[in-house]
Amino acid sequence: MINYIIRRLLNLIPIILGVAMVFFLIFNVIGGQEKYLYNLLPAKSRTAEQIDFYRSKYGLDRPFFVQYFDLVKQMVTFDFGKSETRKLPVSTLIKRHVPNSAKLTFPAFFFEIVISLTLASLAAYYRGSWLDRSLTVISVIGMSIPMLVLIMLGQQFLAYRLGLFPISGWVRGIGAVRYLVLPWILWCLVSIGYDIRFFRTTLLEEAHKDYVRTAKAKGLGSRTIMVRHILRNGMIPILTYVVMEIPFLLTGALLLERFFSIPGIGDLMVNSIASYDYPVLKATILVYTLFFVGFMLITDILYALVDPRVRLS
Amino acid sequence: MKKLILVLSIICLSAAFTFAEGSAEGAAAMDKQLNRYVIAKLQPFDPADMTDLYTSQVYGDIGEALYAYNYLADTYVLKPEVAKSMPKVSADGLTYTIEMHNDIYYYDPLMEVFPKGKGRNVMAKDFVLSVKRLADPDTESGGWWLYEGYIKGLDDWAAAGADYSKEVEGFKAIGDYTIQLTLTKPYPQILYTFAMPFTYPVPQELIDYYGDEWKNYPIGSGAYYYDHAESIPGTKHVLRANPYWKAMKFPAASTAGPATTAKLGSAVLKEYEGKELPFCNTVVWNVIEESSVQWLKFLNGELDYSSIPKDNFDSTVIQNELTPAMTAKGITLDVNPTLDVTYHFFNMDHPILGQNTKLRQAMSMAYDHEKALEIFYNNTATNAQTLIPPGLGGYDPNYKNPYATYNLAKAKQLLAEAGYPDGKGLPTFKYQMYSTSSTTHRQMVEFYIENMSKIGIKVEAVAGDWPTFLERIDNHEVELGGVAWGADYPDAQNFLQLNYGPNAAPGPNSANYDNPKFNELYEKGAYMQQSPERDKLYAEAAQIAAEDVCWIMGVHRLSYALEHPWLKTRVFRDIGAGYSKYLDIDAEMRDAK
Repeated sequence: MINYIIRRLLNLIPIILGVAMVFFLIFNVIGGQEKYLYNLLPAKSRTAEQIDFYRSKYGLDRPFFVQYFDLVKQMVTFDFGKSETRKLPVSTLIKRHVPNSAKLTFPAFFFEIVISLTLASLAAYYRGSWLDRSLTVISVIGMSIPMLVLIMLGQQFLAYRLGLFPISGWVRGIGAVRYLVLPWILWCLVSIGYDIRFFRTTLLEEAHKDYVRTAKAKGLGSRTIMVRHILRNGMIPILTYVVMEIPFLLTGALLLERFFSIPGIGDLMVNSIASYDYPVLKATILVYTLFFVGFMLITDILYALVDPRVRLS
Repeated sequence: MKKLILVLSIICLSAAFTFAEGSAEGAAAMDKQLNRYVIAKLQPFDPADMTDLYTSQVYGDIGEALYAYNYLADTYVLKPEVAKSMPKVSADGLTYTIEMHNDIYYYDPLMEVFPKGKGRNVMAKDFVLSVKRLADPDTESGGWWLYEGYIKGLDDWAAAGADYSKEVEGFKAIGDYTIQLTLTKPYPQILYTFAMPFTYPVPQELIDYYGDEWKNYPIGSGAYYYDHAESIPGTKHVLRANPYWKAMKFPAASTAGPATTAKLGSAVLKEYEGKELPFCNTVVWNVIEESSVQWLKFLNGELDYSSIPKDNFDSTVIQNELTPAMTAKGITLDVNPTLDVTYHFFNMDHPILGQNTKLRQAMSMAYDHEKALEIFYNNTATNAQTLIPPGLGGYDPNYKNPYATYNLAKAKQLLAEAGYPDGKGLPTFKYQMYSTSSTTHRQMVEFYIENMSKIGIKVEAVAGDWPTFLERIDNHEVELGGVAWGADYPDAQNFLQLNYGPNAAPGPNSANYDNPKFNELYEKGAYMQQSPERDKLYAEAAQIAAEDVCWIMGVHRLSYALEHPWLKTRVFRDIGAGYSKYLDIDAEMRDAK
């Protein structure tokens, strides 16, 4: 397993080179270079001398290959310098924003997974019953309503009209919970439909396998079969799904962060795109890549731990 | 199942208790807390780069300038702030001597730069530093254009490497509390720049202590200080009353103009006259980027005032009056003209557009100004006749631009006279967009194209974002484009410079308009002190450009703001900063709501 992990980590080299190349082609070669320059220049009045000065200062007059290797160096050392708009080290901004996103997404994700797994198990267990059919209808409705609509309805009715939650805001520490309850609920509402459907299908597939029939033949009760066998074996695709979602949790929930004024990483990334803040954009893209690759690796390792038939090679 | 229901119930109850507890905390903190907002995230607090309105507004409460605008006057009249008096100006208008107060102190809430919190006096050398930083290419200042070429020795100082140990002949401290300024040519507008956040003083000690990151630790001498513990960049900026602020009093009722008197009422003006500022001990600047959230927070009483989002306008204001539902809540409407102009420009370097006045006049008359006003501004603006907005010297209320009116028959006639009947022989012109994400901008461009097609002129939109727009303007590649300009200071010169020939792109003259007669009038007027004679010159210049039609005139926008009844002393100010100290609220009334 150690060899496998080392090999996977070495795979990071071509991945980072590839990410750097894609970023470079999009933002430096195809059309981003002058955008970056003009974002730095004052909008109301510029001079030709200023334009030349900025171009030289930020190395935009250097050959492309030099600029590319600069980018690779930044990605390898994770030294992206300072944000062009915030004038703070990019690493400080990332450290500041990731925990806020995590506070929003992890509890919501946890609640949502627990609820949807429970409901999916019930739906699978009572397949074809009114409960199953009702959950299917609710799932389809949940999947059909966009997050933006839910946010606006939630803020308008639950927060403003009923006064159950604050409309938006954020504070440091435990007090942030009161600003998070409504976003958590909205997150659950928007995700639960997909997850109930997925988990139910997974569990039903499992319920039709031979070992279930064997268990029934041995005289085990259907509740025991569900809890001890179907749920346990169904965990492999469910676990894969859950772990693969984690990088997305760390990269935040853009709409929720923006509408609820939560200073998370998703909002930081979108603002960096809007303001052509390339140092922040590069760093967030790299963080996203590393999270994604890292959790892919964790998924593979968990596979082996959960299912002894899987061998890492 | 039972266990699951139990767990979920506990989670919900915990959340409800947390929320209830939070609400009580919030209510307690509302005591004389002013709730304001900005609609974008703030930039770092560097005066030299104070180019965005929102950062300037917040920083204006923390810092102080040499001069500020009289709060109650209807027009923008400067008054001394850190300066003791208005400057002494030499007879040739080239030398200014500014005496400063010697009892204004910096306050460092973190007690890092100044360990006792109360710092040293604000001194002349601090203003010298701020102006030098504007000139230093390394600071990447967005305000250098205000001074470039005007201050003796400053351009050379910057070109020679910006050595801060070297004195600049034209801007120096004469003693601790006196500044002497020597200009290369008369520039009466320079006084306004000393009311802008660009020139707010920065103590050298702050830069030395924090190095590159000093811009995140604002230290000023203003009415408020920045509360780092409570502020969350990106969400809210909390300011507290500065305990060492050199107290000021609310202006005398006699300084109020008729519009301000009508808005606040004589009784309020008398009640507040001479009262010590600031009235609120806390100012919270909420960062709210979504207009729907801003609106709900205002309705919920979490903001003391608000603009009206476009989507809510029709349900809030009918025929310029608030709806009864709003009035019943005690909410009032405050409408004011803003100092700005919107326009569609022609690239005057274009071989066809730039050379054919009648063609441009035809296009201007094919543009339905009234309909644009209705569709895009809900009639909350006035159609511009020239580039000078109402309220500035040089604005002529009696002037009617003959080409800023919709007349298709006349437009077709002019087009024929231009040599292109029904648009025949003309190429397809390109309209450069500056945003692909703004629906309103896209609709405005489509409206323009549709209008031109009515006289047979083909225009196509070219997609692009803001930096692309600027880059193409600088390269003189934009054939047609549209943008707005807001006043930096209350002088028509700030608008006329947009048509001044030597200011062609990359300067602010995006149309690259160059008319010798206009240039002559501009140069003559720009060096004169404000006077009826200068206003006449400005008006004449503006009318020349208007009838040459280097722009299709847009509008001068109006500001529509709603105020809750507990907000007592708000006066609309389009220019300047640091007005929070004048605002008062009735906290009891707000809490009772």
